[in-house]
Amino acid sequence: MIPLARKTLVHEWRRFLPAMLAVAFSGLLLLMQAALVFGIFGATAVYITASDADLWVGYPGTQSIELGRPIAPRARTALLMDSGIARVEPFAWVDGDWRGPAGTGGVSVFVSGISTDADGMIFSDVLTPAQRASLKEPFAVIVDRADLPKLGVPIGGQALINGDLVRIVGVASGIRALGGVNVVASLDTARALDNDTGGTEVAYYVARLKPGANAAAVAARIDAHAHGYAAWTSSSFARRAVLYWMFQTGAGLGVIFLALVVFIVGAIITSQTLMGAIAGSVREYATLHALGVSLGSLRRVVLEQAAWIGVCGLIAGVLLSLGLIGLARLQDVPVELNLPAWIACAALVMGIALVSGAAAVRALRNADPALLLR
Amino acid sequence: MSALVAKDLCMGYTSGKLRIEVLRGLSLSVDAGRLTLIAGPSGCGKSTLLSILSGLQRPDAGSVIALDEDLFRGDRHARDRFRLQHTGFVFQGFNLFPALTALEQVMLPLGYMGVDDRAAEMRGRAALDEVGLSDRMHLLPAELSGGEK
Repeated sequence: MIPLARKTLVHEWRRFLPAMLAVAFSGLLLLMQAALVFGIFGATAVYITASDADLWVGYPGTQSIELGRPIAPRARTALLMDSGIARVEPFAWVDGDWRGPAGTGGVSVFVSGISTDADGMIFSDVLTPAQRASLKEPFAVIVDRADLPKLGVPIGGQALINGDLVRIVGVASGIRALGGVNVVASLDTARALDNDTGGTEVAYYVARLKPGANAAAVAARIDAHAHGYAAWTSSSFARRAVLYWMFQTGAGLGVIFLALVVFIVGAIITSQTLMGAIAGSVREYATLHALGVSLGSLRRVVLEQAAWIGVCGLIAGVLLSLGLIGLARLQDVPVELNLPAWIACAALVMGIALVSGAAAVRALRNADPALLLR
Repeated sequence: MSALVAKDLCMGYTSGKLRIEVLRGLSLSVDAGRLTLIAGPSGCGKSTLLSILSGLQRPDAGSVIALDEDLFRGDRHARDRFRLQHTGFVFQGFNLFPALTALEQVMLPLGYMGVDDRAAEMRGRAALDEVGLSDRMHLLPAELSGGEK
C-alpha cells in the first residue's frame, strides 16, 4: 500500500506547517498553563513535598498547612507507640509579622520550626545539613532567595518577627509560599516567636515509617484511636492542600477558569488551521473518491495526516515548553512539571487534531466529485 | 451486448432562482470494445452525463445499467466499489498526487483494490512500459511533461 498520507505530508510540508505550528503552540499554551497551575498551587504543599516524611499528623479537618492549629503532645506518643513508625519529629507552624527596615512595612510571614538534626525530615529536599546546623544559632532564620527583596534584608541582616530580633543566616531555593513568605527556623526559635501558645504545643508531627510498613494502613490505625488530631499520608495531605487552594479559593478558581479559556482558544485555532490544511487537499481526496476509494478509507488517510501533524506539533510544543520551564526556574517562577497533567494535555491536543481531521472529512463528503470532470 | 445503458436520465441545477434542466430524458447505450465520443457545445451537460454514467453523481430521474448492474439502486458503497473495480478516469486537470511518482500513482488504486505491493508494482511497471513511460516511472508529476501526465 502506498503511504499517501505520509508522502503528501513530507512532500508538501510547507502547506501543513501552519497547522503543525498551531498544534505546537496550543500545546505549549496548555502545557505551560498546567506547569504554572501545578507550580503555583504546588507551592501550597511545599512543606510536604519538599520533606521526606511518610505521615503527617495535625488538627482534624485541616485543609492546608497554613490552616493548622496546635495539637496535643499525646499525638506524638500515639505515633511512637505504633509498630510501623520509625521516627517522629515535631513541626511548628507560627504566623508572624515581619518588620524589616523602614520602607518595606510589615510582611506577613509563616515561620516553620524544624528539627536541626542532619537527618531532619522537614524540608529535607531543599536544605543542606550545613544549613540545618546553622539554624541552631538562636533566632537564626533561612528564607527563599527570591523573597529577599520583599523582606528588605540581605543575608546576615536582622529584622523583627512578632517583636523578637531574628537574623537571616542563609537562603534556600524552592520554599516560596503562595500567600506570604516562608521563614525557616529551629523548633526552639519558632517556639520563642509563638505568642499564642507560648510554644508548648506544635501544629504538626511528622513521622517516617519502618521499611515495609504501609503508610495508608498506619494512618488509618492512628486515626482510629485519635482524639483531637488526625493522620494523613504525605501524598494525601499534599493533595488536600493543593485541591483546597485550587477549588476553594478565588485565586485558584480564577487560574482554572483561565486554563479553560486557554483550552478553548487552542482548540479553535488548531482545528481551524488543520481543517484549512486538509481542505487544501480536497481535490486529491475527491480524485481518490472518484477512483472508487470509499469515504471510510479516505477518513483513514485524513486522520493519519492529522495524527502525524498532531504528533510533530506536540513534540515541538513539548520541547518549547521544557525550554521555557528551564527559563522560568532560573527566574524563580513557580512552575512544576506534572507528568499526569502533561499526558492529559497531550491527549487533549491529539484529540483536537483528530476531531478536526474528522470534521474535515465531513466537509469532504459534501464536496462534489463530479467537480473534477469540469 | 451493451456494456453501459442509460435510460431517461434527467438532471437539473438550481442557480439562484433559476432552474436549468441540463439532461431531459436522455437515453443511450454504449457497446463494449468501441470508442464512444460525446460531443457538444460548452454547458450542454457532457460532464454531468459522464459523472452520472460513472456513478459519481446521482441523476434526478432515470437509471444507469453498467455491466448489468443498476448503479443507483445500490448504496454509495456499492457505487464506490463499482468504480474501483471497473472505471478509469482521465481528468482534464490530471489530478495526479504531487507527492507520488508515476509508478506510485498507478499502484495507489491497486492497493485499495487489495492487490499486494509486489503484484501492484509489477502491474504498474507493465502498464507504464506499455505506454512508453518506463524511464519516467520514478518522476513526480511536477517533473513530467503535460503529455506524460
